[in-house]
Amino acid sequence: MFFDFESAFRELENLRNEIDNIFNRSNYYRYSTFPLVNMYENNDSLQLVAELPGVNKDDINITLNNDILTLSGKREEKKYAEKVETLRNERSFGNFEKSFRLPVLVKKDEITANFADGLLTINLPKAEEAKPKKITIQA
Amino acid sequence: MTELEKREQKEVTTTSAEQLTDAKNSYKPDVDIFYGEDKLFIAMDIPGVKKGDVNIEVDENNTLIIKAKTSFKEPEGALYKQFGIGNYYRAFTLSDEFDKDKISGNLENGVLEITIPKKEEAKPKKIEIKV
Repeated sequence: MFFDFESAFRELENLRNEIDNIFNRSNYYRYSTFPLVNMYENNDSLQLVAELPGVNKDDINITLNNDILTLSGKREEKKYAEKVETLRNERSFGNFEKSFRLPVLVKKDEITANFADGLLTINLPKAEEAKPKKITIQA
Repeated sequence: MTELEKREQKEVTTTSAEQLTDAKNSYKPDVDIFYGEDKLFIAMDIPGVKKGDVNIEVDENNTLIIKAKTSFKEPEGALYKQFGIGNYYRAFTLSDEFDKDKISGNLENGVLEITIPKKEEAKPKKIEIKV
């Protein structure tokens, strides 16, 4: 049987690239920082949802600077007892800050935010010029 | 659900305890576990879950199973997603030293706290020896 070294190495190289791609796409490597955020868009508004379980409402700051929305704050760790041994430690604590570039212009004065069950929802109504317009053909 | 969204779901780990019950279509929440002198504390992040939608049970194999149902209605039109919205499932094997009839839980602001006391005979005792 004839064994083609060159094509064997090419196959290996392809395999390696594919594995790299899987890791690049997985959420573990790409989004390991707190908090995790989803962004949604409809015709009238943008909605940003962030996972902030255990964070006090007063410890969350939301600022908008031009088209950059920044979410910052602090997540305090609760002490459960004097003498404890940690068996698992998967949750993260401390200061956090994340910024997002908004894809469209929004009405700055009409932004609202709601925090319930550890989920923060920021509603950002689109500016009139960012809303889709239907254009009728005259003739 | 699109292929990409499926891939972004956190994997549900299958430890021996977790294989006992169907954990499909659930997310694996992050957890901290602390072992105290007379109790075990579990803190679990389950954002989107309201009080009354959490089920904590211990089965005949001494497996602590936590299931939680989300109340968050996901908006349409995702631009990007770093987390999936859905129910939560996690399970752990408890050792015999814990009193499974005295488990208590509290849900506050998306964090579930579970306390499991040790059985009386398993608590550390101070023994004084007079010589």
